[in-house]
Amino acid sequence: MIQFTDVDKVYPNGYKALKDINLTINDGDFVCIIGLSGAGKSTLLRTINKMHNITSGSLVVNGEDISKAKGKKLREIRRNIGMIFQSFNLVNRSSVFKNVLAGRVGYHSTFETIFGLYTKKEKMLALQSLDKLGILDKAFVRADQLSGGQQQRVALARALTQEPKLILADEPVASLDPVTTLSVMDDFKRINKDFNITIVANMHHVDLALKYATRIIGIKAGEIVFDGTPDEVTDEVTTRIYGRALKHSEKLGDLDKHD
Amino acid sequence: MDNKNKNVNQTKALTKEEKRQNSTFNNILRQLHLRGYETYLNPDDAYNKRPMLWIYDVVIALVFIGVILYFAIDIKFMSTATYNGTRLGELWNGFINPNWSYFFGYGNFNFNESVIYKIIETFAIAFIGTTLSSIFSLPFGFLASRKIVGKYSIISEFLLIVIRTFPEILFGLIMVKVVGFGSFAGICVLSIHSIGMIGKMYSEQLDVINDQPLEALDACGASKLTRIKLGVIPQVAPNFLSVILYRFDLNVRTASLLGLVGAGGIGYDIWVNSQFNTWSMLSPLLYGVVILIIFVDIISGLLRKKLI
Amino acid sequence: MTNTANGKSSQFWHKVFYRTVVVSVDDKNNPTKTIEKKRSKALLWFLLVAGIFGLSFVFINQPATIRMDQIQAIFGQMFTPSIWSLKTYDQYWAYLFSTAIPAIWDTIKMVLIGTTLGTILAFPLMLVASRNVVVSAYIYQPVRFIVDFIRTIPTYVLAILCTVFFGLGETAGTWAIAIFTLGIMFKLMYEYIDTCDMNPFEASISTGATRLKAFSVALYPQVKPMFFSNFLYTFEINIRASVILGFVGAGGIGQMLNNAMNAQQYDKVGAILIPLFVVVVCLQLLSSYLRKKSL
Repeated sequence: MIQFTDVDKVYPNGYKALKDINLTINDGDFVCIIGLSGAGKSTLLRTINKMHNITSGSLVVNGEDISKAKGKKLREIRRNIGMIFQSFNLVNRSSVFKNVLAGRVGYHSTFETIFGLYTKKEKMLALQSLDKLGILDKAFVRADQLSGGQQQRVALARALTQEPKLILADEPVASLDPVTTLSVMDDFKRINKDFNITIVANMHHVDLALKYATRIIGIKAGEIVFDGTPDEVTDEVTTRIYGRALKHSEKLGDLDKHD
Repeated sequence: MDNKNKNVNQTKALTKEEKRQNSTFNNILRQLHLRGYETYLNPDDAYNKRPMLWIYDVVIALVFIGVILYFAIDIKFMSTATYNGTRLGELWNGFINPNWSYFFGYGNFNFNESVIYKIIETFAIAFIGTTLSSIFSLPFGFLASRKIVGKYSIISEFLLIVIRTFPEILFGLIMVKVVGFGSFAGICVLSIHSIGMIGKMYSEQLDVINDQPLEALDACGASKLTRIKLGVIPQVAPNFLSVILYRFDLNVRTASLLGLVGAGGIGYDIWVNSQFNTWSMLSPLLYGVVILIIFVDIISGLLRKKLI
Repeated sequence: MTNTANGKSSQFWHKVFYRTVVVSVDDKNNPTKTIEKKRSKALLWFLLVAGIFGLSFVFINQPATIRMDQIQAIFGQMFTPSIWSLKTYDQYWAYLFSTAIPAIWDTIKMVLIGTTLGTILAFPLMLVASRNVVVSAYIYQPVRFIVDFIRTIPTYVLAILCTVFFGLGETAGTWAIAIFTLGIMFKLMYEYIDTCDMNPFEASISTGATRLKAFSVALYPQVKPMFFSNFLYTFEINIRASVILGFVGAGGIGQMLNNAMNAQQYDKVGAILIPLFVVVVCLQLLSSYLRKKSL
């Protein structure tokens, strides 16, 4: 469970990236954050695993106050939080298997990770994660030889291998083609339902967010302007977030007609 | 009140700037260069007012030629030349009739003294020296890269520059005094001198790595060393190997050079034979050196192509 | 993947090159799903390198004694005047400014002339050897081959051969540097010209210009910044090589260094090294700055 209480983030030059965030995310939610570029979506997401620091307020993740955690404690918290990036962030010259196994580094000491001393169970777990996403046959291929959708699945497998309680996704489908977008989003939905993992995702496309999420959060200029279920998102809400209602041509179209 | 002062200061600054713009020097420059930025009313106008940038080139070339001629006369370039045609003839004879027993090591010469042995010895010096130095320059290279260490990289960079610019022949002479004649001195010199070169190339490769996988590893909960091992090293490993192979190529030449001062390898014999004018012994040595370098060039080129 | 035609032997080779990795197990630790993985060749390469490394030691002689005190003696004396040669700090500075720095200046002059001479000689050759300008392979391949061959001769051998021909002294050194520069500039420039944008060149030729004129109009502006940056790079290499030339007797500070080392006057050695060091570092900084600016 994630609990924001009066969280602010102010940069040294006075710019306020986050203002008065009060938010509670429960276990098992599929939360999508929508808003203009630069409104603070990425910043909000990255404060959850302390990739960015908060300047005031309290942020409790899975029962721990993450803003005060450092060093080994921080690594222990982070190993329970998986993160997916827009540009996949895989180690290009390593094999897919090594990339996925890198998810387990939080569970070992530095010495063990340098010499690659993972247990056999963890290696099997990594391969099983690949299998669940359907790319087991590419397990020992170099990571940059896969297509974009497959690389994002490898990133998802890496997050799954961490056996996390929470997965953060920073615009996970922004660089994928329309068909792959839908299958990756389906994978997210399946993970959320089958393993009961909370998912918090930044999305560009509002109708993808509306279709898959159980809860929508709208951010404008660092403040939360909407917090509710997808059914409550009306044109008036999108005007509040984006400044105007979305035109029909800006929506993705018939999302229900796909296999 | 403030606004009024600001206006006055601005007008003062403007006139100073205007004065600078209109000085004689700038006027001349404008004649040559800035004419091209005026608007042209007709083609004749455009032709007459075109920028004459070639004047810059001509001036620089004239200055350069003047300096060269001055230097050439100053060091008496040609007057210390004593052309010696007969020596050239002897040299040519030596090249046509190399001493094959010296080359292969039969007859009057032991295998230990033959050219082939010396070539292998030179190769061995270069191989050991490059291998040792590629391992020892890893810490130097990592510490000299701004991305890994931040501001403190400048210490290691400075150290590497000092090691690099120390002339290797001088270092060879010193090592000969420390460890005696022979190839061991050559290995010491080559290892330490190469640390400077290879360390610098390592740090250059490390400065251009992709940050993104490191960010992802950070989010998984990896410590700094783990990030380096899992994120940095897979990216730069092929580049490092390519650097080492390139350096090996150059080190073979340096290894033969160190022989001049007695640090082992083929250089010593070349020096001795050229002093005593024994051309038929010199030519097998030269053939040997050329064959060795061509061989190492080809192999290193092939392996480097495979790495990319 | 295996050819069932050959049965046993192909199975054996298959086992050598691949190994099976277990993906999941059931309760009794029996593998329920496996996947195949190619074995990594890294171990083989490591053994090969280690083997050559060990073999090389056969050819190296063992050192008789290692006199570490010499290191302390030599490096300690480099920057302080000793009683055997320059007796006081005043004399040290006098030596530095009256003998060492003019010697370096002379060496710089010699290197500059040699580099320019080599570049001028290389200029027509590099045009002939680039695949873009001269299309016929019968012309550019032999030229490349000959100059590459000259390039494989090490610097000091060239220097020695030049002293044979020109006699000892600075002329030999200048010509040695010239030939050496020819090799380096040639290779760097023809590789660069091969990667140049040829469109303006073809456009000029289609309007009727000769190849030479088309080069000077279309390619020369692209080539010019790279030319000067390579010139500076070669100049810096040649300054370092001039020490070697001096050792061989072809002029420059190498001769002075050699004499001082043999006479064990290490403070003179240090005095010569300081301006050399300063010059080389300045050149390196200048050349890397200009490279960044022109790129």
